[in-house]
Amino acid sequence: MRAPDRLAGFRLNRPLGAALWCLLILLGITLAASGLRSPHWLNSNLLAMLPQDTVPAATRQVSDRYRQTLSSTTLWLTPGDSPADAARRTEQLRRALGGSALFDEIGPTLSEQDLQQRYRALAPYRYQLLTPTDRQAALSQPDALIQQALARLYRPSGASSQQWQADPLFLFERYLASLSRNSTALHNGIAMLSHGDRYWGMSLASTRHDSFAIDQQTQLDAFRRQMQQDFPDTLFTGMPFYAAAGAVSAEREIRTVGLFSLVCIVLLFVLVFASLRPLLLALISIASGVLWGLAASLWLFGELHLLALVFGASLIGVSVDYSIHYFCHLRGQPDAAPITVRNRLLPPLGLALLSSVLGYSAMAWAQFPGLRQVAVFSISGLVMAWLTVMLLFPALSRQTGATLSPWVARLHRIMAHWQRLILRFRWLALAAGAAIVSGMLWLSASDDVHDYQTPPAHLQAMQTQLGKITDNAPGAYFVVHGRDIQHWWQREQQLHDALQAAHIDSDALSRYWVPAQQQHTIHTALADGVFQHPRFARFSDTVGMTDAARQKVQADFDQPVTPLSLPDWLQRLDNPALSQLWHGCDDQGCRSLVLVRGKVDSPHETPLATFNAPDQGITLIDDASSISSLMGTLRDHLHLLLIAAYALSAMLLTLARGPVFALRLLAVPALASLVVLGSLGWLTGHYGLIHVLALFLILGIGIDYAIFYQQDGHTPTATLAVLFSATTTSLSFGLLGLSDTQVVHDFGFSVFIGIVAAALLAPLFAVTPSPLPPASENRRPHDRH
Amino acid sequence: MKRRALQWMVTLTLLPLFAHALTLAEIEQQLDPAPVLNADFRQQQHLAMLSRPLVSTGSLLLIKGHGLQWQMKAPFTSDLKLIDGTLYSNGQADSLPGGDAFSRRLMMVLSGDFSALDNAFEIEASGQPEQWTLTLEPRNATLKKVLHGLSVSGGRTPEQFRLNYPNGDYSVTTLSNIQLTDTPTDDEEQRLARP
Repeated sequence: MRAPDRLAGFRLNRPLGAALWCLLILLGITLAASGLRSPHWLNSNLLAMLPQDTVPAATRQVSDRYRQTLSSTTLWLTPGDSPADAARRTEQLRRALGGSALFDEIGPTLSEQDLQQRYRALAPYRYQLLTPTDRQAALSQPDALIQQALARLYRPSGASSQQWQADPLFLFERYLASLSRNSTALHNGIAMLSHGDRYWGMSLASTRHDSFAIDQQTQLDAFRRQMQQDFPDTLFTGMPFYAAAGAVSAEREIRTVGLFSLVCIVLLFVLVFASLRPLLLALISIASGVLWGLAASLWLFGELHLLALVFGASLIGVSVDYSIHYFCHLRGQPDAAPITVRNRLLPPLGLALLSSVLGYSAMAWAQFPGLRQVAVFSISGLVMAWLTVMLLFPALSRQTGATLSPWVARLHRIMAHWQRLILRFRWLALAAGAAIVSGMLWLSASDDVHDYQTPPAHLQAMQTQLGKITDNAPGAYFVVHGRDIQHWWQREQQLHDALQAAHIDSDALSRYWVPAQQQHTIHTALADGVFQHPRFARFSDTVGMTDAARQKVQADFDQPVTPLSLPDWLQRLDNPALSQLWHGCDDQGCRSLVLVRGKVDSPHETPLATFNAPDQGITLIDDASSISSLMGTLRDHLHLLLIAAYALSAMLLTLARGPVFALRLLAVPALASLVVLGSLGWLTGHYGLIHVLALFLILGIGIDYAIFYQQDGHTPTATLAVLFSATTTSLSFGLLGLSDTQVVHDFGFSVFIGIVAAALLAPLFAVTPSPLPPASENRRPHDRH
Repeated sequence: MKRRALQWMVTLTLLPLFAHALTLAEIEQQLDPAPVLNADFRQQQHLAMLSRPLVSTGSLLLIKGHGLQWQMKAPFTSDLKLIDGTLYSNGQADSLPGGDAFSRRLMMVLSGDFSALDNAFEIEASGQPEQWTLTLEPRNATLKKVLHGLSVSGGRTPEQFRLNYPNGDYSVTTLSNIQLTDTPTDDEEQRLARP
């Protein structure tokens, strides 16, 4: 035995070890139980797990509030051949939504009363609030207002004299029309959009409760499918549906990966050890690992993201490695007591644990909340599984003297053959290796936040269609900040004008409301330019206004001006779409949102980033592109970290055993990583943040195989242990490769290839090839058969 | 002989009683089906607060099922077009509410498409097939608040219509120089092409 005997005298005896383990388990149960008591311990909100851009706290507050509204809003468009038809079907849809008990605030319904209410509420201020064009005209070309009024009056549809008396220049009529976006027609109070030759009735519905709780997600996803069936040509979208679909698919994946991993482990254990005890102990080790993974994550973060749990399901295949090594060695050394085996395994397994933990800890460094959770979950799970093997197994396992079955020796011979083959045809092997690795030339690095969520195809298709009909905010918006209302208004006005000059349509409050000072200015401009000017007299003569009418109009205009404040205006307007843009004033200033509008198939020519000016109070929030670029930066940093990790390991191993040793050991994960990169280059050509993280894991786990061959030499025990653990590990990660989510798939696939490559390369590098073991060696001296 | 004459006299006097009420179908039957209509119009709007009516004149072009152009020439020029359900004023998409609903109805009236109007209005016909008058009253209470009713009269095509608004406002439009053709000329098609 080449295992160092330094720790042969390790004193921790069996009862003490078992007792310690029980204590740890109890602690784990307590932590996990208290964490699971919170109903929101499982979070499926994608944005919560992604890295966040650094913006000032106040801006972050505004954007968080807006995101919260978005996260529960759903938009529905129901088609019809005529407005009446569309309205009828919209009402049908709304009844279905109401009946599902999943939605609140189903609407909007703008009744005739609502419109009249709005008219009455804003009418006293009609000579203070005008459309931007009318404001301009009032200040510089009052004649244009007169001309416009005449043109309007002579329209074939005419004008109601009652309304005209209150609004002789039709200023208020235009102002009210500008307040409803797209001037959507109303039919039975339902907003209608027309596109092509169809009419679409619009509905908005907010999901009830917290839309990220898991049982809500399942219900919502089932409801989505039902709606797709019952209302096939209705289009709908909304973050709740994306989150629900993601949650349901993640749940399914966790179950699949977990179940399959367990089943395979059970089968393999039964096959290899032909006894129940190793299997049961291995399952205890896995279970305690998962328990502590949950406990540590919940204790540190208070919650666990669904995506982290999907990655964590692969832990089952990794944590079982320690049990495998233990039992392989127990069988392989039939004259050693369990405690001796444990003590002998302590250095190599300890080193293996350390390297795996270091591999996972790269994720913790990445400042990526979701990946941090994966790291904590995996590290604590691995440590606990290791402790189970170290503390509990010596107490509960027995040295039966049973040895490894004969086919293990056969396996070992196959591996030895593999070694000789490679060495004999080393140049061919090198050429093949070079061919695989050359795939790296086709690799291009990119990161896209959309890889973290793969919605069902139907949702995507509807989103595209919807984008052509309405102009949904395409995900980006501005937060505008000012010292006070006046300051804020000027800044927002500037932004809005700049956007308009670049032909970018936007929703901004400053378009419809002006501060008190400007309201006075407008009234004065109207007075000087129109109402107290000969122009008006000429106008009323031209159209033949009666004296009584003229006097009434004059009297109405001469009413004293009381400025209308913004909050008051929003209240009178009662329009949720505009109210959501205002975020109030406090002692740090006033804030609002400016939403960018645009149709899907005509992207902006000028990038929105050109308007970003945080030092002037204008902050662009564009989550999709900022997170994607953040990931790119993280990826670059992780490259450096990976090289540093290799360098550090090389240094430590050189200090321990010399440079040749270090090189031999590190060659395994290094070459395996190159094989992974080469395969990626040949197969997909794409490479991102998640692949670099996979390389860390390959370093951490791949080096273990090298360590074991190094420690044990070319024995059947070593071969079995390495191949067995490589099988379970690669299987778990391979199952992740079946995921719908792009990143999970990429990660699983990369680690799978890396582990397989490491397992095949380890025997080649660990030691010089041993001679072919004679056939008699599979019979051990103390064999009881 | 005398009895015969008496029978004739009775039949002749009773004849009006047998004359049935004019139906919409009968009117539609004798309307000229030609799709292209060119006419001059004269519209008089009587508003309660005006001491005299607003008079505008101009010409209109209708291509049934496609579009309508209302081109005012006096007292100033303005160009209103309804093309495929969208309203354009002076070349730009019009955004005033109710504008396109009105124009659509106007087009229906001018096209003689009374069965389409039957959905939104209660229609009463009177007169003869060659010179008929229709009175339309909105069925919808909301519409009734803005439009009390309208009446259309004409012969082979609508020739005059009057809209009654609340508060005693009303407008009367008279068409003259009506020309009906079967196919639109290139110029006419150009005028009603989508801008």
